[in-house]
Amino acid sequence: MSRLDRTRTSAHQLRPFFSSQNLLNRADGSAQFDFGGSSVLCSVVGPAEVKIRQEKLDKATIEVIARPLVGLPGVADKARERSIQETLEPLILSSLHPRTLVQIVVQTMKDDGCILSTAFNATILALLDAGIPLQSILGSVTCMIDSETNEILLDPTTEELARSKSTHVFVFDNKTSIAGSANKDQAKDQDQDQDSLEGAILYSDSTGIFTENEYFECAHAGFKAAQAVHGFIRTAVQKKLEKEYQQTQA
Amino acid sequence: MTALESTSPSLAATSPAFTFSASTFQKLHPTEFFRKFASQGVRPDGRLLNAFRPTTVHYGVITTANGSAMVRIGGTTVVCGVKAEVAEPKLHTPDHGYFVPNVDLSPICSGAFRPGPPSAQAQVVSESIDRVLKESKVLDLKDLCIEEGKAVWALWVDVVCVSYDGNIYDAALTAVMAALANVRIRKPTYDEGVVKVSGAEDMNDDNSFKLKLARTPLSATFALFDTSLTVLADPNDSEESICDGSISVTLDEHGQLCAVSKVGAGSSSQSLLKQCIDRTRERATELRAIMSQQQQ
Amino acid sequence: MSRVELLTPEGLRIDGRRPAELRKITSTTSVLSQADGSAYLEHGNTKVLAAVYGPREARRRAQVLHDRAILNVEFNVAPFSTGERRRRTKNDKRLLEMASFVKQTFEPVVITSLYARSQIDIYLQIIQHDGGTLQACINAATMALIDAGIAMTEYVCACTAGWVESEAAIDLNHIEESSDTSEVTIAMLPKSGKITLMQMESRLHVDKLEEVFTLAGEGCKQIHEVIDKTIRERAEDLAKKMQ
Repeated sequence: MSRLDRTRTSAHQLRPFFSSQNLLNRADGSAQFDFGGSSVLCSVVGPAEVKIRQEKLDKATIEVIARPLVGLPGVADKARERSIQETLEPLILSSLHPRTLVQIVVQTMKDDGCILSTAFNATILALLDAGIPLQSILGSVTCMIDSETNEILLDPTTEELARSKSTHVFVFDNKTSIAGSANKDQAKDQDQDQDSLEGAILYSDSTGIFTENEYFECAHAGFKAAQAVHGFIRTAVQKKLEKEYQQTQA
Repeated sequence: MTALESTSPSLAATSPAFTFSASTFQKLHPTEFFRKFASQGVRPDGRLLNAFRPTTVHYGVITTANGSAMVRIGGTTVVCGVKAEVAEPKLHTPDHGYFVPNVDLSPICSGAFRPGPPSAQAQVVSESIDRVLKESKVLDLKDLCIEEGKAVWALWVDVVCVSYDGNIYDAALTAVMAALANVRIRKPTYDEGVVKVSGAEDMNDDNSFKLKLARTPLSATFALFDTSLTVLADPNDSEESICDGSISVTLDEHGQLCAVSKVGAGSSSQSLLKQCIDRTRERATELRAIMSQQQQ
Repeated sequence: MSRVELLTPEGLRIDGRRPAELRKITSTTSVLSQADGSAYLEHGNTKVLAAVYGPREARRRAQVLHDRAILNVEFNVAPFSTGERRRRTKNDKRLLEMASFVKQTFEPVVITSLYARSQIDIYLQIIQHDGGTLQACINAATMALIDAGIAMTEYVCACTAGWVESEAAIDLNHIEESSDTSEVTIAMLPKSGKITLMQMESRLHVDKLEEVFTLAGEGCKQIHEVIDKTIRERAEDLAKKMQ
């Protein structure tokens, strides 16, 4: 039951969340999200003018720029950009702002594992802050399987990741997971009960060596943890709106 | 194929005689064109939705490389060459060799690629292959050590795409694994700071060695059409351009998963992922049969 | 480097050829599905792939010529093609020079005035290198241009010849090239006998030039025959399919 990360007692415990929105004056929206010692700052500019080469006639162009903690962006950052961009594209109601650009910059501030998940959560908070219309919100969690104990550890630190047999990043949206019955399209040809239990996967990236069962166990654990992230995002937005409302009243 | 009636209801209502030829329709409404086929359970190139394109693997096509392979998946052709060079080890891993995979999508393979620095797509594929090889520990890097702290083998794994027609990840990974299996490196001798690699005589088991591969991960990629309602195995270039996401599953020969990735196209249920994993098992078995047949 | 015996006492070369013997040429066209025209060519162990895209809209408007097409030649060398692995060489001066040779070779032969305001891209990929890359690239580009249906006044065939030890030899391989032999590459229009490119970078006695030059010219004619045969076979094949 003991984890390498002494601050936590259980394998399925996440590190404390922290977020703050509207940090940058010059961006249309910004947010910081922390998972314990990992922190990502995200800024959103848009809908703004788009270069002709990137312009899409029926929807907004989504551009993601990922910047590493130190040094120049490398191949891994390119891969991260791709993941975030392709995941957000169906989520953002981009057809409401055709021929515009939504630019998202993701800057790693502190790295203690699970940077991709942290970046996903920071991005969604920044998009909410910028008021970009969204279909649903998302929550992301990373988990790993320990090579010695074969235990599934949620939200591992860098130290724990060094002992991993495999790592899994999951993203779940709140639309298909809160109530499976709400999604009628999918319920038609899929087993409805199963869907509402397991949650549909929006993004998944796993590497290492693992079995099919382990993968779905991780997905299940990730899904449960993602509920906590969804809840946190909801509270964060609620608090921010309350504060803004009070300011307008004053 | 004869002329296809225009499907847009408003157009058909205003001018019932207005028809396109199939190829014009395909250019104007590629998505709608494809949807017509998909609803009948086939694809424009005649494949069923879960069918892969014919695949061939050839070993040892490049004589200047230590190991090489050419893989063809339908219209996609890639050549992978592995070159071994003596290099200094990295500081924190003095007894580890290293390998550097790189995928090159040059303008020769498709009109969509521009000359210049590697495109985002090429970098993402290189990164995925690098991660699969590293995370699933395909090579024991200690095997590549010549003299601890002094000299190791560096494997440059270069994939050149010769013709691009979609699904570059599967083609590149297959080519990399085939080329690694084909590698033969001369046995070096280390003597007071000088690494000697024997001369030009033919390589045999005495003067050279092959790489020990712990496993051979092979992948299958599926494109998601219409927010994951339709799953297309082994998408070609035109299918990739109208699909919004993809699922890639990588498996080794013991049936263990080495990588699973699902990107884009809204949420998809876990049973869909299960289906993809099952289909990958079948596909990987076929692919392994093709590879072992050629290797002899 | 120890001096390699390039000629045996019997007058045979290092790979067993006679001095005036070409390496085996293998060629096919229409090898790529994506390109408008393409060709694959082997001169012995030198393997080259050529693709032609166009005539198509020019990528940069500033480049557009209102009375003719612009030719654009890009080289790409596979990192595993040579004995030593080459590090990132996208802007290698040597490659740019080669590209400009190929461009200059084809500019007078392609009837560019037919494709005004457009661009023709010739992409060359060297898959394996064993000497004579320039000649292989020119020959492959000719085939790819023909395959793309681009109007040309004539074939362009290129061949190298050099002075190996005491004799003129044709179609040098990598070992012969790299041990200080002088080498001449010429590109010729075989029907009219005109020369569009002649390139030599090493020392060669004037008296010997004539002999080397004639030998290379002979080589061009032979290469023309081989290429022409492939092209004709391909054309007949297409004609059959159309019936």
